[in-house]
Amino acid sequence: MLEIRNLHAEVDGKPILKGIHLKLAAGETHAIMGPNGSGKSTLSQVIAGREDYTVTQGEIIYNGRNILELSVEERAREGIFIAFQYPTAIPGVNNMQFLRTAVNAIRKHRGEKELNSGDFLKEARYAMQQLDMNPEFIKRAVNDGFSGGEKKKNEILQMYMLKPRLVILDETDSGLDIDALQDVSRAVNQFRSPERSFLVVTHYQRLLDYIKPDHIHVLFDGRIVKSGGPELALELEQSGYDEIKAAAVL
Amino acid sequence: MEQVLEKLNTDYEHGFITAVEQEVFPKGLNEDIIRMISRRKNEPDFMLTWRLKAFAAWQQMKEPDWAKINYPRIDYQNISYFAAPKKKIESLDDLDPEIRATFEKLGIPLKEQEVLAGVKGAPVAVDAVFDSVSVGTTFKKTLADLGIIFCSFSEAVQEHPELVEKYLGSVVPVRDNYFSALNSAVFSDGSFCYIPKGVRCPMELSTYFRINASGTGQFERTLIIADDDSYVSYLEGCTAPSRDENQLHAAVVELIAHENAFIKYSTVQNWYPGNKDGVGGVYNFVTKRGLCKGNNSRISWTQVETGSAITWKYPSCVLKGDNSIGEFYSVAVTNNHQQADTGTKMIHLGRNTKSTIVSKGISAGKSSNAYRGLVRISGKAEGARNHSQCDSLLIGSRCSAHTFPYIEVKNNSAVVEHEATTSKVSEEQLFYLRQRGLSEEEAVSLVVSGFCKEVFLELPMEFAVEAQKLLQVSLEGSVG
Amino acid sequence: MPSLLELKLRANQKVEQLGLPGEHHEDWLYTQLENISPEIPTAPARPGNHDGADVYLVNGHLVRGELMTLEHMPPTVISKILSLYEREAYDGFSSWNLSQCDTVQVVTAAGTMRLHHHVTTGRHAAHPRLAIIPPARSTTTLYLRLTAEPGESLTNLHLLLIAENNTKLNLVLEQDLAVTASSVVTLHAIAEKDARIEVTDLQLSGKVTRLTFLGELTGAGAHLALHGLLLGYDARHSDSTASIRHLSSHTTSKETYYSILNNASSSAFTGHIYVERNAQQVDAQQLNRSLLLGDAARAFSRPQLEINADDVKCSHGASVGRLDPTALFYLRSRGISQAEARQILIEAFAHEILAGIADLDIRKSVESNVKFHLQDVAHG
Repeated sequence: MLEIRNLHAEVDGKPILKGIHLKLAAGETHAIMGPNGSGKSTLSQVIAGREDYTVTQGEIIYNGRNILELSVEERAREGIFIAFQYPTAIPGVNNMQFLRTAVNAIRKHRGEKELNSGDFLKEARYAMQQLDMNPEFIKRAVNDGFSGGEKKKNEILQMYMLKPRLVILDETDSGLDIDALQDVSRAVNQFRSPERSFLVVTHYQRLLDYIKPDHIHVLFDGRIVKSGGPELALELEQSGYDEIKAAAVL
Repeated sequence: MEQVLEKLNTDYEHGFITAVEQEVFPKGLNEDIIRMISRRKNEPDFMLTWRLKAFAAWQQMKEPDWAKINYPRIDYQNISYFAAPKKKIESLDDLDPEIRATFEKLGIPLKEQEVLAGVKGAPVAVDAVFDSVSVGTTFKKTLADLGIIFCSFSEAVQEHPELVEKYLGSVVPVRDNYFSALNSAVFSDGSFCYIPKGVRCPMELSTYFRINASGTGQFERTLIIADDDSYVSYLEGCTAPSRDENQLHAAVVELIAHENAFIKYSTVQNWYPGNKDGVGGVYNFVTKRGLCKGNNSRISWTQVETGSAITWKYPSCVLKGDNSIGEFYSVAVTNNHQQADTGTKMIHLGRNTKSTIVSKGISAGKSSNAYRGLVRISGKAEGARNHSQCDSLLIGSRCSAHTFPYIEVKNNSAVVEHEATTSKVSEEQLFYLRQRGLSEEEAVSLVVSGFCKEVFLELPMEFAVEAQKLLQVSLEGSVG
Repeated sequence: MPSLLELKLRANQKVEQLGLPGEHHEDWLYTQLENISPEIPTAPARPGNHDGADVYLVNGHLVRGELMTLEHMPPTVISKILSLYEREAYDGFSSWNLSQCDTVQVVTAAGTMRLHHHVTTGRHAAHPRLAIIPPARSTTTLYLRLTAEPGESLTNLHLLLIAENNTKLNLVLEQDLAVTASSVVTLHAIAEKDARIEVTDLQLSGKVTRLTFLGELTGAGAHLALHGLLLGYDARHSDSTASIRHLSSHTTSKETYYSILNNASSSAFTGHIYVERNAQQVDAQQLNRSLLLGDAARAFSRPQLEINADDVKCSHGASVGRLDPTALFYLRSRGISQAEARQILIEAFAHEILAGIADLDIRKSVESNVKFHLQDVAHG
């Protein structure tokens, strides 16, 4: 599904990613862990297609195609979805209008019929129910005045509606209380399927108690310095990142 | 509250007069007076020509009337344009003991040893201007070793005429405005500073202005040039005796920052504000402008304006170099009958230029305090940014606070944001603080210093302490 | 009290003496009306096809519907209106209007009314003058649309709004002229005790459009809201110069202006909030936002506060910039195209002003006009 080869990227001339290699097969869930400033968020932004991040080397192959030349919306229509760490508030733009436009843009790209407002609403209501969300939610402006938990749930709602094939969860657990974390994790787990892959980017092991990964990669100073099975998360929780840092310096 | 108001009466700490023998030019302004000034200062021809050109321009100009200030017409023929202590000064040691005592009383050290002895912490080089002339500059030798020129303007005209001719009027041309034209014609002294390429000036440079003589105007000129990759922090302080007459002060400050240079200019202006009934006080009409000439250059103005009967000044930045930065941090306090119309202009010409404006106005008594500012993004200033924050605080119901920003954006990649608020010191805040044992005065002072904190943080350490004290004194008697 | 005729003669004299304001005039710094001078003839009376409005005026003359003229009003109303005309500060266009207006049309009825003023083609100026003075304690909503055929015409409208004790008065004013025609609206609004005035100023099309607004809050409990949307494309220029004067304690005002500017268009906003000495417990808020879409688009903003009382809460904010790049990115990351994302954000920006129009029918009419012009604005 996704293969990242020797990815180098910089922001404002400062190198952040310094040669990332990663392979993610369909149906798999991988976690990217690492301390603050290791490049985790940059990696998700680069996959999403942020224009202010410059890729200087390497490639990102998604379903057999290098996506670096694709614009952000083309990647989205191809099925790449990022649940952002800090979802942007867009005052004045109604959630429903926004979501329907997005759903139909993607359906059109896939050659499917556009949803009329009745069908769209039905689907949205169902998804909101799954997420234990207040139906009033859909009428509010996108992320505007939302609490941290509401913003994250709104991201997951969008994931349900847009039906991506590759989902990147960028620090989705940050700012969530335990109840909201359980709701979000349950929704994500329900969404897992053999055709879908997940990349879970997180600083803490907490989220991985609920969304169990197949593999864990540790990112430090722009490189993946360690990979392993789910047991790696526990190891990290006990020893922290210091050991990794120390090893990396050596 | 009324009682507190009645009981307290602001005392101007620096209101004493120094008895010193003075040479004062006859009152009035004409070409002969200008020739006299120029001759008295032994100036090269280019200076006299320049002065006469300015005088001709000034005669054609009209005194501006757009500012939110009221004052009786100034009779420019009833002012003496030159006053200087009679005794000639060859070095700091020759300084008239009376004058030395004056500066000592004001807390301005003119003996290098004293400063080095660590009385005031980090060393500060001082150029002291007494009425129309500079009476001494400290640490010249130390600075000269680094190639830094720091001297009185008169000396610069004699010793470095090529620099003066090159830069004088290059930022504030003679025709710029009524008061700058007047200054250009008659200015008598001031400070000059040149920081050579790659030099980081190791100490604060400072000019201290003192008006002493009666019936005179003070017209000084400051010119600071920071060459490529240099840095300088410059401080300016001013006081005047308490007199019943209004004294005119019309200064011009020009700053030039070349590539990668940074000039930080801080002012604590404490000219005599007049008494509580509005009698006397300095009319302060000042033109200050900095040119960020080189790429990546930066000019930062910080001002604490507590004095003067009338303040009319807009320290500005012309952001010509790409990526250059202009900053303006201001606290202006008016009490009793003081009037202030102050602010800044940020003229964005270069690409990716940035400016920040933080203005805090505090009005008390029957005073009037206006912020006036211009942010102009020219068509070529791709990627320019400005953020302005202008807050006003009102103390008492007889004062006024005004805000007049002008925003002109001619490039669509610019991001310009302006915010302003006006509010009063809240009764709840005061009550809370008093319940914790503070007096009403202390409570107001605490709230006000919180209000100004952002600006004080920009001041060099010792200056910030001074400014804080000054603020307290200025607002004495304002609670009511 | 001088008669209307006397005021007209005085106004005429002043216009001859002082002419129209130009760039030397602080309030007209950014707005110039080229080729417009008091020599321009007054537009002739013409019949016209109305578009379903309750009241239809062409070139300043009533063609359809019912309006009273000033002389038919009770003496108290006449003297109130005339005294307000008399004390208006000289501003050129307003005096020109007074000297040339055919009559003063008065709206006294409560309820909802749609008015349409149209100017025919030609190099001439129309000088309609309307006074709105609904009964106390009533609610009135007016939708006044200004149109003009192609040609170098000027619509020089003068409007007086008086909201007496406890009256609610809403006005939606739409300047939607052919791209060669210009308009200047002088609007004087007075909110008395416990009255509420809401004005929505929509400047959608025309070579130069301008609102000169003077709002006065004269009694405790009065509230004044002024919302505006200035659209720009080609070389069009729009201007709102508003002064809101809090003359009494316990008064509130809110002013919000948004500009959306494409191509080489420009807009100028001057918002002056004045609080009289001893007018305590005043709350005045002002916001001006400009969206610069075109490479040569320009925005000028002068938010001003003049405060002479201490127990007040006043604030203003102004911002100029492009569409928020993070919002654009967010929308695109969900598969929405760049063009569509822009359109969504621009419409949402405009909608923030339109959402303030309480009458849903009027809002609908306005929305479709705005949407029509936004196509030009969004795509340039």
